Amino acid sequence: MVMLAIDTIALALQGVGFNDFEFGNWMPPAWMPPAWTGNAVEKISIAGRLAASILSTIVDILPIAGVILFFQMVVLRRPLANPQRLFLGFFFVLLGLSFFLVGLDVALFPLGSEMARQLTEPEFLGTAWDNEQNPSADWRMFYWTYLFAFSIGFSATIAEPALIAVAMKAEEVSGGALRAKNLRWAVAVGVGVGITLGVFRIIAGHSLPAYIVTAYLFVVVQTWFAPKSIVPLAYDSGGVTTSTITVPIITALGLGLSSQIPGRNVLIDGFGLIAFACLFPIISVMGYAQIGQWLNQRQRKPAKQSVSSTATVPSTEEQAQTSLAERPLKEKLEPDDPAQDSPN
Amino acid sequence: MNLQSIKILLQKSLTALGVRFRDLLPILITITFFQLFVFQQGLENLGSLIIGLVMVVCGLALFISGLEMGLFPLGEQMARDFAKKGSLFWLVAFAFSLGFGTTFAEPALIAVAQKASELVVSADAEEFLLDAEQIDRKQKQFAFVLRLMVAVAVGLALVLGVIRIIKGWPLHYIIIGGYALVVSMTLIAPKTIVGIAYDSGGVTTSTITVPLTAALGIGLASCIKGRNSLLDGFGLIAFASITPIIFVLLLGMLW
Repeated sequence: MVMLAIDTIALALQGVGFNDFEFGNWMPPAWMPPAWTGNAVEKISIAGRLAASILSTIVDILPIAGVILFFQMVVLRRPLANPQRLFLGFFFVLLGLSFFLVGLDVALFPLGSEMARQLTEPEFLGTAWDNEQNPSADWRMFYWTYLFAFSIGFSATIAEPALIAVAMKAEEVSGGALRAKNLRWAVAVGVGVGITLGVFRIIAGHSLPAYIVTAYLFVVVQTWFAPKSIVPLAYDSGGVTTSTITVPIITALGLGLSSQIPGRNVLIDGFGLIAFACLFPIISVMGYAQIGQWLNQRQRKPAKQSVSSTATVPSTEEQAQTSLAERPLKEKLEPDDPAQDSPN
Repeated sequence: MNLQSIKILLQKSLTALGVRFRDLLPILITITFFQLFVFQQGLENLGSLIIGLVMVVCGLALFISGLEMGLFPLGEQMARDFAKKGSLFWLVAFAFSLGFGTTFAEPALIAVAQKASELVVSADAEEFLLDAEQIDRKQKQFAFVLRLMVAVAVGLALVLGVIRIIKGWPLHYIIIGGYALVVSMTLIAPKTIVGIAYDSGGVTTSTITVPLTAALGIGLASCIKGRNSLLDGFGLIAFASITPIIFVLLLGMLW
């Protein structure tokens, strides 16, 4: 059934003029063909690409829809509440994602990847640093590359749809104590810093495992001190960052750097950046919660001294840990309706 | 539908577009700044840039409203229905098939697997002097096994995550243990596979899977007495990005 559907779609793709099934928006994130950075992409019309993108998103959704339908109809056998709305929602997700991907492909990826490439060229840096006298690059010359790495990591993460989704859920579940916007900023700062450090590592030629292991150890130690309620969310945000927007541009940056600087391995160094982009948001999200907790405690201390009996101050340490901002967490003993707890 | 409701709808969608435009502002500023001031080049394809941006903003707004209407309620409702049914077996089966099904067909993973197979088999080919046909067969074999491994890894990750929510195990011990495993395996595994392994961890969490699994976890945690949605509902995505790394590293060591 699914195979038949895929075959039909492949045929349809060929009908729109796409012989190569790989050509579209689900490019392999780390193994970009030159089509991404060159002009080959430009030759195909936006409408054609949109059609291809919608088809590929359908292929993406098919297995999910299949699994859900099977379990819904065979195992659960409960009617879905508001099926038209659900269906419309699925349709919006499909259409929205396709528009989003094609738009990125038309506007941002060519420019971003081109910039990443240009930033690493010797002409741009003003010196030929890959000559005999100067075999290793001087890391201080790359200030524009660092700035680009940080700002592209930060800004791409702010626009990442999967992160928007998770942040929305986090705000809802925490009863508004965790602001979606702040969480996204924390993740974005983490990605920015991570990629910058990763770029520095490639330029300086340090060992990748040393950095990764250090960062892992840091995460382990930080987990011990961070507020318990943020830990799962922080771990999740590490996996969320590396999807649609971030990966293609930072891969272009990593590939550009590692192919220009003598003695760097294109494959190993291109990947390093993705691992950095996964690890550092964990640190920054936990750090954000720690700062929030610290500010909270500092605010509360003088209040306690002046007003002796306030009912709102959480008494036990457990409660103080879980309340990230003013409002306490949602109580956990309401099994019926999670939707009611949402702020809007 | 009368005029009033159309007006409200229009207002709502305009607000949504405005919010999404703000999400995109940082990336716009970055690109414009570097293009104009660092490279000192004009914005050449202004037309396609504007068309692309309009598409991105509209797409993002549509996607988010689709999440709120479709994926989020669906994930939560299914979690509640499974909890009411009370059968651990079917819940685990659902979690596994969701993880396996979405990952095995993931186009990004297919592409990575193909590229990875070229790399790994070409290293083998030099060593064992294989002919073209053998290389081709080995590549296909490797790509298939890799996809299977990653899909099983994600399926198991969701199973483990769901069981964790039900039992209320603390997440950090499992994740830290997983990291320790990844780090120690990285040191032993052949160098060619390490990059591929880390990449498969990133590939599995697609834009559609993430909201669905998040809603599933949170829905499940909110149904079970004594579970906190924030503390227990999250963590599925973290599992799904670690287990593929472990499985692919294992594959690299055994291959």
